[in-house]
Amino acid sequence: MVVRAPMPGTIISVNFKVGDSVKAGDVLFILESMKIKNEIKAPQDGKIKEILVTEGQYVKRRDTLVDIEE
Amino acid sequence: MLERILDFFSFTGFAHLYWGNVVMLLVGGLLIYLAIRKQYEPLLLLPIGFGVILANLPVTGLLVTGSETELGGLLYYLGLGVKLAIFPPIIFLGIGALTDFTPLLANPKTFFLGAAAQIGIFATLFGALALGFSLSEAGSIGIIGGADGPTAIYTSALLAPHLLGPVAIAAYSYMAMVPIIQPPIMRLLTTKRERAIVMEESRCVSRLELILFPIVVTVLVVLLLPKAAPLIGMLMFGNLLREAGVVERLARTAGGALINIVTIFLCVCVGSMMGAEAVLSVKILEIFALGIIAFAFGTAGGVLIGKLMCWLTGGKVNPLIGAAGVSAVPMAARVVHVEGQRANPENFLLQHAMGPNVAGVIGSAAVAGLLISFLT
Repeated sequence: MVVRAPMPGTIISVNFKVGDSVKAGDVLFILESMKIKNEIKAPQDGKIKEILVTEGQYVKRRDTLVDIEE
Repeated sequence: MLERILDFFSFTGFAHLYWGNVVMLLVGGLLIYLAIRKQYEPLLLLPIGFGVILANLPVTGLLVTGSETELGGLLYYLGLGVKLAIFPPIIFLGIGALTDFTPLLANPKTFFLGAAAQIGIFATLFGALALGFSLSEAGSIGIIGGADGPTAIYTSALLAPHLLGPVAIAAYSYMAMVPIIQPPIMRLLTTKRERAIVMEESRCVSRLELILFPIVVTVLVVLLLPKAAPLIGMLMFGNLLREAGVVERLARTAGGALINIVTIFLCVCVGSMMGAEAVLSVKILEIFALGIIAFAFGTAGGVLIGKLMCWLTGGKVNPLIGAAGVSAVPMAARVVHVEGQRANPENFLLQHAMGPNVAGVIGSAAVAGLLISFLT
């Protein structure tokens, strides 16, 4: 399943790499939007298949951030 | 020799300084302290604070009125941009170029929240009348509830120029304090369950809609409220520059260099209108008290209409977003987001709150047009 940006902003932290296992609720990214830092969490357990953003990248709402393999 | 020293002293500002100036110099210093140390609206309070200091240094001639035969002071000429209500619409041009109306268009019903939050303006207007202010003064004070600096300055310049300084400072000070003023009211009027409501993703907005929006709003609002034309017209023109996608240079200038240059002059001039004689003769404490009432009523009005929408939609609208309708872009939307996350960490209300937030800008400018139409 893919995780999308809930709002536009800048990715200021990517907390994992491809192949890492994550649990539901793990913080995947910190997305800064209008000076507010937002934690983007894993919606389910799984393994990181593909990361589509890098630190410092500006994302629009609904942009895909990561693909998680169940 | 002593006589010459005394003669020299009489030409200095020290000889003409009186206690009122000293009080206002301290006020100017306080505003600069709040800007630098507390980071309260530093882009605004710092130049305003310095303007207060400049205006309260005696015998500078900075504010001397110019005429055809006499050269006026620097701040007199710069201040004409405020007194003739030129600077606020130019600031609005820049705000328009910086504002994304997508959240409002994606969820048009949030426009009602932006309108509801303007109730603070009218509540304060009646409060000011009860305290003995004249009708035009009451309108000028009430507009503080619009939580929009340029709108407050524009309205005050036309309705009650003698109150412009205190009204502008009250408006900007309270905007800086939105994160302190709003949350208790929001919590008081909502349940934790309501605050935790996660709103559905909004629909996508087409480019055509974004281009048509500023044109349609200008035509409709200005036909309805012609006196709102300078603010609404410039706001929407700036937004059209942004959304047209073919005049990026103009949009960048309007939302960057131009708005910054005019902000410098506007704020220094607003500060310079805080001369001791002018300020200490008006009921400044009443103005500040009414200003906070304006913010509180505006927040409450927005949240209560948000609750009504929540009920009408079967719990799909988080009533907190109504609080963003006071404008104060984007602080009020940030406060909504933070309060929403406090109730439910998975709640991302920022974009949803931006709808009423930008609607509040249009709403307060429209109410300013209404007040100017009826009170001048």
